[in-house]
Amino acid sequence: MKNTIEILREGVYTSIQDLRRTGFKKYGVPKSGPMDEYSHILTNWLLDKKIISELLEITYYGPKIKINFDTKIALYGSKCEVKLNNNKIETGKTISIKSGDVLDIKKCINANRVYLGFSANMKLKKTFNSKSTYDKIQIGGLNGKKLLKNDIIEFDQLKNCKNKKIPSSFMRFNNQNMIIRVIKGIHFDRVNNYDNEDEIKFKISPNSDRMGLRLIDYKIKLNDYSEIQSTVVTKGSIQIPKDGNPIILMSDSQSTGGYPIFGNICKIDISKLSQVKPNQKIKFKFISLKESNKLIEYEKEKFKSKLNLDLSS
Amino acid sequence: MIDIIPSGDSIIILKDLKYLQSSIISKEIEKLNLPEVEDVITLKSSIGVIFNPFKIKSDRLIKKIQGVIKDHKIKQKHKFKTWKIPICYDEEFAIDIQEISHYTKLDFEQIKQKHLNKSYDVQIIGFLPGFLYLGDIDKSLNVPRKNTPRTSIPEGSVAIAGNQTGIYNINSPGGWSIIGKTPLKLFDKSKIPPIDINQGDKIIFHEIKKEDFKNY
Repeated sequence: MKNTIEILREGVYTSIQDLRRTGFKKYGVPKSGPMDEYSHILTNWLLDKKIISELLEITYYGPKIKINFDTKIALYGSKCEVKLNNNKIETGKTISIKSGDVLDIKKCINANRVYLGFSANMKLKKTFNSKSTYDKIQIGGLNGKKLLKNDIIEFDQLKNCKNKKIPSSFMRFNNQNMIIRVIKGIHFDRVNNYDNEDEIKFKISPNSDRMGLRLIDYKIKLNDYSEIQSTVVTKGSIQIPKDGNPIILMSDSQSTGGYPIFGNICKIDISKLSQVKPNQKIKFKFISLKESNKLIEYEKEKFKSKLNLDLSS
Repeated sequence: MIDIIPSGDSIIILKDLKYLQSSIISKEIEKLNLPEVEDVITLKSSIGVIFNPFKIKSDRLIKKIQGVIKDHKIKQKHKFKTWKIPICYDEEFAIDIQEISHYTKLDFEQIKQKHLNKSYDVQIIGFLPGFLYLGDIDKSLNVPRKNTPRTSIPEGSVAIAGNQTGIYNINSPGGWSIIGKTPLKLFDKSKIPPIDINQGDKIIFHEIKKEDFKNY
């Protein structure tokens, strides 16, 4: 018998993502990967796997999955209602599965995405060194697409891992008016109407996706609308198109942009930003590059000391 | 010394480079195989280096790169290839030719000749998988981007916008005006690298008839 899982219900948008696709942006192929890298890394930690390993990224409403082998799983990210054979189970911990179990993941409650990992590795072909799904050119995942009903994913042999639980100091809470820290961008001197930074709020538009988050409710005006030279952008870069509604680039974004760069979201805050639900509001707070680097170091030490996990691995 | 600035906590930008200098320096950076560096992206007069800030901080990466990119290396000559790309200007493919003609006040034949008569530099690869930004085109061919982008442009389409011409190597939406089509499949997702053309290379178009299209 092969080790497989079978998708009984597909949910809204579930795709396979890892953190391996680096080095291909020069051909116009994005990195892809999880929107919320923080939750991705913690889910892999629960299963003793490398932080770059592939997971299912489940968006808004999850799939129903039949698991046809003994394994361990973990779920982390948004709070959501999850049932194993009709019994409620908790997220944020390692769970043992018996062959034939049915996992039913319902609505994401306080955020957008939840990550589901398995202690075994998925047997999938890598494209551009990665199993990440990028459906625009149909690469990664299963046939380059989101998971569909009746899809079957094959796994290799189970590696054992001990049961773990994410410590409460790593839990995050999604709240209204979330403050997102930003480093001012290379074209910030063009911005004309941002004096009361404490007063300015943006709403996350429902028209956001894995390429970018669109912000509405406050239009940024520039004092110079002349064309800029195309510049390099990455996940977290905030662009100001002509209409003034900022776009924050995310996992599937392109790597060059012709719009002025308002700022770059601090590395540490990109994951929590990705989980802010459509129509919720956020506020930017400017910090220096030095401060952002301190936050990165602090996070690295916290993961090392409390979880024995090296974020630079 | 090259001017290198941080952009956020995960990018550094090498600024104000001369044309083609950027292609040469980015190859030098790639040769270093730095484990902290995720992507090196070459633009016309700058290079962006995207790195993992859990592995290195921008100030140290800037010093590292400044230490390695010495002047003599930049002056080295790199070989840039010239690619001959077949293009068919038949109206079946050149779906925006009427509009271009109307805007530029040139007839179809003049548009074709002006587009064929230049060799182009590959200025940037990106934006879309395998999209080639080529330039500069003849000034008389400058047309603005469409107000409403097309929702689907077929793979192989050759388009113009502003002072550039470009090749769409995957099916995608787009706002450029389509002037023709190449039968070549330049982007192959099953290969590494997926495209053989490099930034800095030259492109020369040569015209083919619609009947010859299937022979490629």
